[in-house]
Amino acid sequence: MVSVENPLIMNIIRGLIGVVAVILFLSLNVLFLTWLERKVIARIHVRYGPNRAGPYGLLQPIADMIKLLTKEDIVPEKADKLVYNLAPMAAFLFALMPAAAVGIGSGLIAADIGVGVLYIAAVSSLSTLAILMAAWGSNNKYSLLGGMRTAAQSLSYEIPLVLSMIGIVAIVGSLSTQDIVAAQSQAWFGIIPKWFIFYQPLAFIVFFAAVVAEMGRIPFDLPESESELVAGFHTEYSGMKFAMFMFAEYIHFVVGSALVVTLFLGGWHLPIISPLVENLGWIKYIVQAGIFVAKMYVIIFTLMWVRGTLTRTKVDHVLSFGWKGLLPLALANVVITGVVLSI
Amino acid sequence: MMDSLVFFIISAVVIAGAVGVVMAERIFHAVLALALALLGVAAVFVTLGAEFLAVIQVLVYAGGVVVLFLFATMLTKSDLQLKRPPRGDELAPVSAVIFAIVALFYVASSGFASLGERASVIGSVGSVGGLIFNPQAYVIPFELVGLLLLAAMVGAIFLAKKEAAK
Amino acid sequence: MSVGEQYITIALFVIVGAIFPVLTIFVASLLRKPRTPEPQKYLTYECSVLPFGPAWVQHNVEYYMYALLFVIFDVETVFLYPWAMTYRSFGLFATVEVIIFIAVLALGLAYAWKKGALEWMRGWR
Repeated sequence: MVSVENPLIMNIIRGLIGVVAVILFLSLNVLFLTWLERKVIARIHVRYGPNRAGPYGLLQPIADMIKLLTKEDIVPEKADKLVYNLAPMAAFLFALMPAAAVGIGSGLIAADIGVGVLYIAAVSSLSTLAILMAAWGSNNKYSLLGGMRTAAQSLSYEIPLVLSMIGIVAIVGSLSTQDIVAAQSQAWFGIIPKWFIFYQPLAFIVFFAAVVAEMGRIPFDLPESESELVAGFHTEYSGMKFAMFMFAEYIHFVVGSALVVTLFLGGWHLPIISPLVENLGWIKYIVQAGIFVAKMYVIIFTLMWVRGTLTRTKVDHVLSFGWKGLLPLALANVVITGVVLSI
Repeated sequence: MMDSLVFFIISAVVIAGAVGVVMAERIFHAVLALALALLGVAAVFVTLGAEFLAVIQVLVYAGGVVVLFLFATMLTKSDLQLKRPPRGDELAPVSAVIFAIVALFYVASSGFASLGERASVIGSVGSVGGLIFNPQAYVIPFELVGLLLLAAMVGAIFLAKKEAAK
Repeated sequence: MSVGEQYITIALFVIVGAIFPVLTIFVASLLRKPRTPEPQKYLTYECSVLPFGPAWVQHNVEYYMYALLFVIFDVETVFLYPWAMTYRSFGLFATVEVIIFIAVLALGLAYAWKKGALEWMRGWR
């Protein structure tokens, strides 16, 4: 055994536990989500959805995984091989990295860095790079068109996203997700939670719209508008490389929803219940994680509901909504917050 | 010891990226190599304790400027995207190497170890804010930055419009 | 030089995040599976017709315009975070300063709006 007192080795071990925990958490949620999404959408469409593999089709994700693992990996002849092969890996990496700074309980976080939310925004903006790599590397017209649209979209919604967090950062005085959630632990009269959705309603609307656009979900799902672009930037991908893109997309879904919960919905705090378990040792962590995941699934279900209800928006409408709608609103929110806080 | 090892690994990544920018045959590869170099620089900022700078480096450079460059490569003609035209001059790479060596010696002689302590003082979000918004410090430059950005935006739109009208 | 311990975790995320997909793709490539090489399979997909012309063509300037505006507003946004962290120490003065800063950039946004730089494929004709 190497000297365990060595702080560096301890840090590396702790970090590795964090990485493995985050990957496990994300994998389980993603597997469950692929099933849930198909089931929920099917219900909205008055269909049954997957119901063959296992009870209620619950084993469907496993079947899908085996299918993707054993599919042939086709690399188009004309593709730029280097970029084509790097893109799925970059997509996964840049989807995974933001999850490092999202916590599901007090202390249940992989890396509580000082620039928290800004780090999340910065690293997730790199996904654009992965998408452009896939788009250009495939040397396919649909891929390229889809990728460039996606890039334009995620650039346009990045600014409102980052701007809408400023109000909260000003109130809390910290960028760390742990501090932001801790600031929402109180409640008026012990019942009405002091969540930031009540302090920053405008920011919530802007952030929610922007985060949905960043995830590339309906009504902003230009990335894969299958009726016009075949499959967008991942048209040419098959097998595990395709799976990497799907994995990355669902990680964005999970992390984006978790971010909404962290910033606006009080994270792992719930009035009445949270104060009760405050001194219960490890039970506290389980309850906190449970509350967080439950809230996360409320957001996730809402987004699935939206997907089942709304239609896709046209590309020009999506972009002008971002620049002419959300950006001025986000700027106004910063000014209003600044004035209110300073007076 | 560990710190120097980390520094050397990151430097190797940055230099590999920079060399890639110069050597790559396809512009797209060159821009990706640039992204690698810029991300490596962000890692250097982190090791110096300047996390706010690191995040800005990722957000503005790797996430913004690189995408801008990628779009720019797609604005070029298709044969240019495939292979960059041969250049005759050998002066550029040689001068770049000389510059790099001189810069390295300068940094080494001024002792980059001392940079770490200074960066941790000026590198956090709070301390940057303390400098920008302190009436005695950088208020005017801050507003000038705003004007500069405005000028850049107006200029860019004007040029792009003229180009598109052609 | 101080390597914050939290950033060791971030570095591990980078390393594991880079290795994980390589590993899974490698494992998947071991689980082989029927392979029938056919030249048509490796053609670029274009709705089952033979590919027509190159995909790497010259694109419109709109995309570039959005990216340019993005970079400018990104820099602006980045300047607002230090304010959000420190407005307590400087109070109204810093807020007025920031409002002037935002006003200058709102002017830029208004210009871009009026000139049609925010329009998709329309403002340029």
